[in-house]
Amino acid sequence: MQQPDSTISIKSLRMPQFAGFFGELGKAAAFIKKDMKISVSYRLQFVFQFLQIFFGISVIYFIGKMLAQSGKTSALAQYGNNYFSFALVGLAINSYLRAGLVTITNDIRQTMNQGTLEAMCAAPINYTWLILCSSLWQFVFETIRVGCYFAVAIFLFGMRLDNANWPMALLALGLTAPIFLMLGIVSCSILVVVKRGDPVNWVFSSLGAILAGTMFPVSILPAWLQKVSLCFPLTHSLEAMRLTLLTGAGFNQVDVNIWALVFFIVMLVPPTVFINSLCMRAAKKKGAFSTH
Amino acid sequence: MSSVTVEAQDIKKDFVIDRSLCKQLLAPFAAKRKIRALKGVSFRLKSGEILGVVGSNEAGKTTLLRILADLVEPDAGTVRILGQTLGKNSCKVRRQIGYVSSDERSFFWRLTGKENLEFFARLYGLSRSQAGMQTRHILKEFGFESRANQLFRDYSAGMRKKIAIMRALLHRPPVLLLDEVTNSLDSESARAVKSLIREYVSNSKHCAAVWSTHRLEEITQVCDQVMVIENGKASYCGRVSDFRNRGTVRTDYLLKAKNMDGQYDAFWRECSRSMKVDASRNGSVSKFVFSDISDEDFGHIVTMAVKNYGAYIIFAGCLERSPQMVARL
Repeated sequence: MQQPDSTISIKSLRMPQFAGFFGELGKAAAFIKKDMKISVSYRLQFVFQFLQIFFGISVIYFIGKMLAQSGKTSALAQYGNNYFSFALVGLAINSYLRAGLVTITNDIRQTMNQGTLEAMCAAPINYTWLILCSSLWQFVFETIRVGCYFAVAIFLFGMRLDNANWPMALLALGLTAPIFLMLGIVSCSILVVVKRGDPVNWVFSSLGAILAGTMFPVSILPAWLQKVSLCFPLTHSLEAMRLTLLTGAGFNQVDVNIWALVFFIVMLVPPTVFINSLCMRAAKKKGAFSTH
Repeated sequence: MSSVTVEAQDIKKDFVIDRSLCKQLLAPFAAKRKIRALKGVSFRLKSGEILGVVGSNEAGKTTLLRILADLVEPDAGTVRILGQTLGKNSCKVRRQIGYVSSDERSFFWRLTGKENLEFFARLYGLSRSQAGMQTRHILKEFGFESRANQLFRDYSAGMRKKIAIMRALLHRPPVLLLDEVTNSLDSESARAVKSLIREYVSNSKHCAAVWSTHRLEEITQVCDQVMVIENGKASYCGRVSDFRNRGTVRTDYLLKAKNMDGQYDAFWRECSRSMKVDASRNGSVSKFVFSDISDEDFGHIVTMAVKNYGAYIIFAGCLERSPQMVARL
């Protein structure tokens, strides 16, 4: 039987034992569970996110067919002359970037509006870890979506990945994820202070999508823009993924891209930590965790 | 001897007001406008005690609590929680704090109350089994089991407030920071929460609470110490018993009477001989305000007005004083 409100007692509440290192991993697991439940609770949106895969692939399938019929695929010679496969890898990897930047910043903005960010900041959690944990579900979800991209392309649209060098492709993907995660942390940290209009998000998700050659090879860009495109990690990630998946390239063929990704990881760690601590400090000074 | 659980020394905080883009472009180097939220607030809170922070809107109560909760960094001053300085080992210090904000929306609306509590329990570092167990216990104690699996968005404001209180207690923190905790609660629930917090602080070792409110009666019912904040400054800080005495011994009384047309001046003169009286007249209604008299004296005055001056009493009673007024006495 329920007790009436007037007799609330918390004597039965025990003094908890706080978990150590595993407690931190537990926090990450709790974030994934929480975000998954919220994501699934928007049923229609959840279903559409998967349906969108089919429609997105259909569009590039027919563009690829048109280009193949007109014989204008010479720019794709090094990727196997198949626009459909080429663009599909771009689409899938770009969705990773979107998860790391656009989706996460939107989520953080929403938690600020709701006041949940402040509630989470009041808990004993490192703020960098908090933002990192907030983005984990999106990466898990996008990994599933990338899998679905390839599954739909292979089973429904007849994409062939017979030559794919899967270990090298996974290595490239594994090196791409932390880069996008760090960009996401920087983006969210800036957002907490400026609220809207984060420049990192704009540069990497909008400009990067064009310059990195998501839907077309970088080789068709003007020479000077090709040099600029090398500054974007997405360029190297796409190049490595395309060559390993579509032509079965080994380490020797993609070593430049792999080392570039490693270089980006190493170079991004200090500014990520610095910008995150700077922005969180500024947010704490302004009392900005809950202001919108 | 009880130890000091929360100590704040000379806390100051200014907030910069954002200027419009137009003003920033026209005068980029103009001095930034600031709001002075706290102007040097200090207090010491021993274990087993509750400090009531009282003040009007925008006095600085919430800013003080958010500083204590390590959500806002002060411009100057230090805060020590159980001997540890805030800002130096933030995560460790925050584990000692349970914070109930005045905003009861700060949950995930598409999760149930139980799921929200379990998530925050994990965030406080509890293992999965402990988080589940503590959540079950607290839901049971609050009589909330049947509504635990309802989505948070479907809760009433009072239910949300209760969930917020449960969240603050989940990890049994030694320090509770409660901002307008009884807002949105009905009188019975508010009473239950007051006794719960009193019991929690009194019975737990090294436990203390800071209770922010507008309501003076909450301070006198629950708190041991009181701090009145006015415009970011503590105009009074001391024991509730002393504060209560200030308010009751020196009280203003109001007497409103009719039918004193011929006797108004005579009555005023007689009263003015021994006490401070402000009198006014509006038509047939006479109004007298007696300052700093005891309730016994006021009783004599009312009797005298009726018997000797033929007054017809419309109202006779004490004038309620705001905490700020009492602090200024």
